[in-house]
Amino acid sequence: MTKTKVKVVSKSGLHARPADTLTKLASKFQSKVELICDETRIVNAKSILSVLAAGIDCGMEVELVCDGEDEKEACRELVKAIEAGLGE
Amino acid sequence: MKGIGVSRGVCLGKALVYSEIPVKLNRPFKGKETEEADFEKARLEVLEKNQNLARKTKRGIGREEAAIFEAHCSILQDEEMIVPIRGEISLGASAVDAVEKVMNQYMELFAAMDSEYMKQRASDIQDIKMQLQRQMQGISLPDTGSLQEPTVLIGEDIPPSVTAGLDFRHIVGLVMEGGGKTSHTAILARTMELPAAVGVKGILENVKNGMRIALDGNSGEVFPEPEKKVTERFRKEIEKEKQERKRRAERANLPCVTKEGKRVQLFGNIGNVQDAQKALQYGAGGIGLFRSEFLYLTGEFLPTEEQQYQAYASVLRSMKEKPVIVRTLDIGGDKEVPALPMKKEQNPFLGNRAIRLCRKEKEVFKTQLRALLRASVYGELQIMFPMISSVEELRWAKGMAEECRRELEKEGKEVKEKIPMGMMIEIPSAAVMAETFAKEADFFSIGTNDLTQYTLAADRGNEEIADLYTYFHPAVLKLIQLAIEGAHKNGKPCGMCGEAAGDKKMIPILLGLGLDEFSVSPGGIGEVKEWIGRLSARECREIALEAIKAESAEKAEQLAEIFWEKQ
Repeated sequence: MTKTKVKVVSKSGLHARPADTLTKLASKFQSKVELICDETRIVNAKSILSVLAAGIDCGMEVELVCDGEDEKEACRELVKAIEAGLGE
Repeated sequence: MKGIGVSRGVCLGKALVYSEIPVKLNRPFKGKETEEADFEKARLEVLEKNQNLARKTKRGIGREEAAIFEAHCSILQDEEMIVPIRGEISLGASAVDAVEKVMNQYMELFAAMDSEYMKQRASDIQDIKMQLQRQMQGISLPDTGSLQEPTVLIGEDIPPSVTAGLDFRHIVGLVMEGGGKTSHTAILARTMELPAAVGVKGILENVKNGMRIALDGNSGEVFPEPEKKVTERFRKEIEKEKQERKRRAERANLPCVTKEGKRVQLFGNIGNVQDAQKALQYGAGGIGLFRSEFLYLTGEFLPTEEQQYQAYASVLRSMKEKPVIVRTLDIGGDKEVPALPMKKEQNPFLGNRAIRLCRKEKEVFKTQLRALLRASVYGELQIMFPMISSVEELRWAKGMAEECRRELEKEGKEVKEKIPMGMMIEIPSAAVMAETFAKEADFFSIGTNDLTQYTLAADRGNEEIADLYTYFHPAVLKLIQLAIEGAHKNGKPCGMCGEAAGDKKMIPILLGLGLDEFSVSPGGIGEVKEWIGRLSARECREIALEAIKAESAEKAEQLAEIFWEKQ
């Protein structure tokens, strides 16, 4: 399991296009990809509905948890994308 | 068969029947495997449709617009939707009911969230739910994009959100079983210059897809499978209209003046960017009404500031130094916006619509105002607020515009210094108090469709009482007079953008009352110009005052008829 904290910088938070970009990217990996927000809520990062329902706003810090064969690569790629604003 | 002709012209085409068949719930359970297979099949089919739409939209319209369909595709592949639906099926729910239950849960979850954005996502989910259920029950919406031959669209009454999404390239006419003279479909047809008839009783029962249809939008007559004689008559008529249109276009460059040489402003009503080109072609001196709702009706997302800015800027640029009056968002009533779900109201026309809705949805209103102000540098923008019934509303709207201007200036964005801000006169209270309103508004534009329905308490879409709904009613004429005089006493201009401004019999009355600007659908501009050219404003004054004093709408209309006979 690979874990890392990352801050959401997309202006609209994890809504709209950034949410879609994130779930599409997460779905490319074999590993289970989850976001933990407020240290308690677990969000399936491959599910657009879950990500949207989590209501993650700009500036919030989330913990990215990847678990599976390609977890290292998944974690690296996803952190890079989130820090770059998810194509917003 | 015969209904009411609401948009002139004749046409011949194949029938395409649009009907909104309700989805049937509480279906019997056909076994886990069958239901699961049904769901999976529908899911993949709907997914493919949305993928195609996304590709087509990206190529044809743009990346922004395609995002809606891409989001739909993501939801359709979302395991957090698929797994719970399969779960419901394994508990003994039919596929349709499982979809209903799971999607409704998500819809409620999103609708209950604070953010406006999330509330809009609820309507995305609703849309996908309907798509899945329709697919499972074999209910299809017309795919007008793949039509090959001239087609007459037939339906009960087509909701604006559906018409906005249709491809009209091969549609040559509209026939509605329901609807009235000023229903949305009728207005749309006139703007698009498509012959149309509404209130055609029995059409849905007697016409099947693919049948040949001859439609006369002047008389409201519809002939399913017409005889050869009828077809030939229609062919000749269509050719004649083509010639007529050509002549009208030639007249477009002449100015609009009365017989005594008085200059009258003749503007066009438009609903989208393409219409502006048409208005120019027909010789509009400006845009008297740019209905901004059409930006909101097409997608499941509210238009962004940038999208709106592009649309307004494009119209302002093409109209150059000619004035463009943009009406701010006028939804509610009969116009629903998929991206902005509203509560069901008992009296939507008397409810939370237009400026009232904007006061509740302040951010939506501000987005529009910011887009308008930013676009103002490209031409002669004027902003018009709809459904104003009290001075406070007008002040509030102007205050919001001022707030947006300050914000933009702080952000270093350019806004034109002088942007006239006016209001619609469509509620009797505004007409009665016109003199007071004119102190604060830079201009008026009378919307006769709503003014008539509110004055006479006659629903403009209800064919049962279509005979009560008439702007020749002396009470309506009196209110028009109050509006014009109230404006003039304060040195402000008064125009009209309702159907009445393009009605041959109304024109002498309006000219006589001193109306400064007539705004009609682009196709009507040439004709109105010709009619005004045959009249003298001075002579019209007398008949206008007489009509206001008439005892009934019928008498007032007769006066106008007799007046025309003498011209």
